[in-house]
Amino acid sequence: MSTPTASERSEETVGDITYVRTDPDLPPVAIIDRSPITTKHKIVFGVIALLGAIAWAMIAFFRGETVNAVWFVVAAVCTYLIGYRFYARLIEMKIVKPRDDNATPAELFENATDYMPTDRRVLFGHHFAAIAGAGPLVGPVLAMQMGYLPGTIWIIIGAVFAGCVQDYLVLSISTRRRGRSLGQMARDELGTIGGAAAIVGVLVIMVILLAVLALVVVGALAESPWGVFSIAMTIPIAIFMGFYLRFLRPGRVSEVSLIGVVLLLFAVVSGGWVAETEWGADWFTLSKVTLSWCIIIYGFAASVLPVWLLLAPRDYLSTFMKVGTIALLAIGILVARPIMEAPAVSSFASSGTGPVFAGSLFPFLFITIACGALSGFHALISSGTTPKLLQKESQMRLIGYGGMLTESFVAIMALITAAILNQHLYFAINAPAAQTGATAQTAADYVNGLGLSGSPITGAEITAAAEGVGEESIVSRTGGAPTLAFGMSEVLHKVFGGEGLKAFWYHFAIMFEALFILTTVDAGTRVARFMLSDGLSNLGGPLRKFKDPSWRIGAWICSLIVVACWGGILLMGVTDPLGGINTLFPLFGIANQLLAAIALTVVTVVVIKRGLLKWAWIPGVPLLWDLTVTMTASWQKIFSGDPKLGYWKQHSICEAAQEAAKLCLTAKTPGDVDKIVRNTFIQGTLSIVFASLVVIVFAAGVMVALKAIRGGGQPLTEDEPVPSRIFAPSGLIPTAAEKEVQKQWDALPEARAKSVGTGAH
Amino acid sequence: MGDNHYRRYVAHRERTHPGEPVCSERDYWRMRHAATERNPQSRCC
Repeated sequence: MSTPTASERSEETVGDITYVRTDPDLPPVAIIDRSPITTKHKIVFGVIALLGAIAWAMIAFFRGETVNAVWFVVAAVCTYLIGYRFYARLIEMKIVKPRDDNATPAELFENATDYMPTDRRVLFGHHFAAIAGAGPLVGPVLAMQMGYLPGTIWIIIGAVFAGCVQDYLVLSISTRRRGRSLGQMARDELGTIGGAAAIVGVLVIMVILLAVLALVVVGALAESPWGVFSIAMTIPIAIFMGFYLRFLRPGRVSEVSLIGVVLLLFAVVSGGWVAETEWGADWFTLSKVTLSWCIIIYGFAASVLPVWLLLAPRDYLSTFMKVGTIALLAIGILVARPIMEAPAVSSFASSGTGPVFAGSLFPFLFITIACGALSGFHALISSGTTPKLLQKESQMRLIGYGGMLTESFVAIMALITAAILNQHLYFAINAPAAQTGATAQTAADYVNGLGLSGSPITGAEITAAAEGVGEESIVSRTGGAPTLAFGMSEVLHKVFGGEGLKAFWYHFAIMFEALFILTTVDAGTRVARFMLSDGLSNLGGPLRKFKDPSWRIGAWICSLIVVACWGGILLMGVTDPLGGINTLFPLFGIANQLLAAIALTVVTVVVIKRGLLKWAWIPGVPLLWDLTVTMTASWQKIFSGDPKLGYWKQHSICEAAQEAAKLCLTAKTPGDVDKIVRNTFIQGTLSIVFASLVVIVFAAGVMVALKAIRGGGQPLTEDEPVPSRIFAPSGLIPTAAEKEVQKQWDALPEARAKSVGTGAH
Repeated sequence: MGDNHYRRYVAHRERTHPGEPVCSERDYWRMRHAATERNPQSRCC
């Protein structure tokens, strides 16, 4: 195929619209639309803005007895629409400057395997499924401890000004660099030291992510035979799907996914029957420690088994479930229109003494919500994976910015499900066992002493709530997943199936979360193993052998190291006398936000290097905010003298107790004291490592940026543009001009047309 | 979801390597999975 030279590029302007061709024999490949905003458009956005303002006023200032959940949905959606239409457009015009007459990596290297221009709507689904996971569901649930208002504001505003900006800009710079990964771009743009720190940072942060996600699953499944059975069944179901796709009907992905979903629903239903039998309760009631070992063994096995057997089918299944369940929940909330039980701002927001996680609103609310508003991990998807599937640069706004808006919306729904729960019940589920005493009566006494609004709860009511969802107990089911499942069953049973299906919906929600957490654990272990073997091979010498991906022993060794790292932290979390999730989740949040700082540093440096200093505030302000939050949080975790907050304070208290052979904090035995001493040492060390790596990356970024401002810095590493030879619309809905051009492409004979916007997906 | 990937691949091969034999759908997916094995994709939180 001949590549047209630049001289063949031609432009034709009709009214406000310019059509760009790269080949005189082909229809236009790009449309530049300069049409002014129509009156109708102005009215529509005026109405959206007004509606959004009313919804925000209802949430923030209405201090009546009840606020309806629908106002949260309205406020969120209106803000997203305004943000997408105006702020994302500003970023597009001033920084991204998409050139649809240039080929994307997907078009340039198309091989119909990993590089493949994909319909924007399908890619939106792919990208969303890849970025959304347990994070946006769990974080807002835990953050509800501080009331609904701070969380709502940060999830919506944070997404519009920080999270979406990061995802969009990382996608745009990676697309111009043949889909290079964040680590590679950091090395290219920040130099060797900054790059190395970024790569090590990504690896360490990945390990803590896997550990905490696994901890969430353990919290949801421990002592729950129903949950354990239905999750265990997903393994044979996935293997069946794997065999089906490999040997029976290769390529029938939708078909096998539908079969898988039906089997999965049956697994959830039958879990209820199994849990009622004596043998079922016997086999599937597992303690937290046993369950952790199961997940560790699973994680190792899944990461060394062939992809087609377990990972690929699970991934299909979890994508289906994710998109389906989130849509179901949105419908449920709109139809059931539940009422908020939580206060707008709770007393824990300022006192910082809440049982779910320690610390005051600033900075720990922002750390806890993490993924729903700004998530560093998205930078790993936006670079590398998605650019290889992108048809046109102008679609990046929809995929990058729009994808993150959707994730933020998921976080808002998670927040709603936690806010509609009885607040006494919320704290009974989420306070660690050390406080609640792990029985219904002690938990009732504990939460009644917290000074919450609303009438006190009795032990019998807590037990009844547990029985309502088919569980023995819901006291101290920490980690966020059970709370979310509880809230989801509250919403969904009102719309689908009534009281009788409440237990089904609870376990459906647990299965849905555990399913994609396990997929993340599986995929994440593989990716971390890959980074590790890559890093080891770069050390040279005999370690160079790790470069060869087909060397099975090397893969096994690296998998074992990765699994040992996150497995160790997981076991540490489940046996932690201080509670586990409340000490580890902040570490996860800090890690995630620090990764965002690395990504935003790379992006800001690129923007400055391109000579766009004037617009560097767009990624720069979120970067500075994020650094302030994470550095304050790290500082408090490392140096705070408050034994609820500072890892090293806890460490020194318990060390002293250890020497004096006494007990400390919530420790009940001398063994607990030893555990606290060890755990706080590891957690404190990790905090220091994370913070130091990010400071190095940021310092490298500042130096490169200063050099670029003074002139004479290193050049950008963007690739030479190659003219595009395909066409596809930019936004979700094609414009009239785009439809017209699309028709011209569709009319071309098969062999010439490479337009991909028309295929049925 | 990937149902049309093989069709896309066949079309792509016909365009870039006309006249050459194209692997079967079974082998195409083996190749895809082998590629994922070599270069794993991250899933987020």
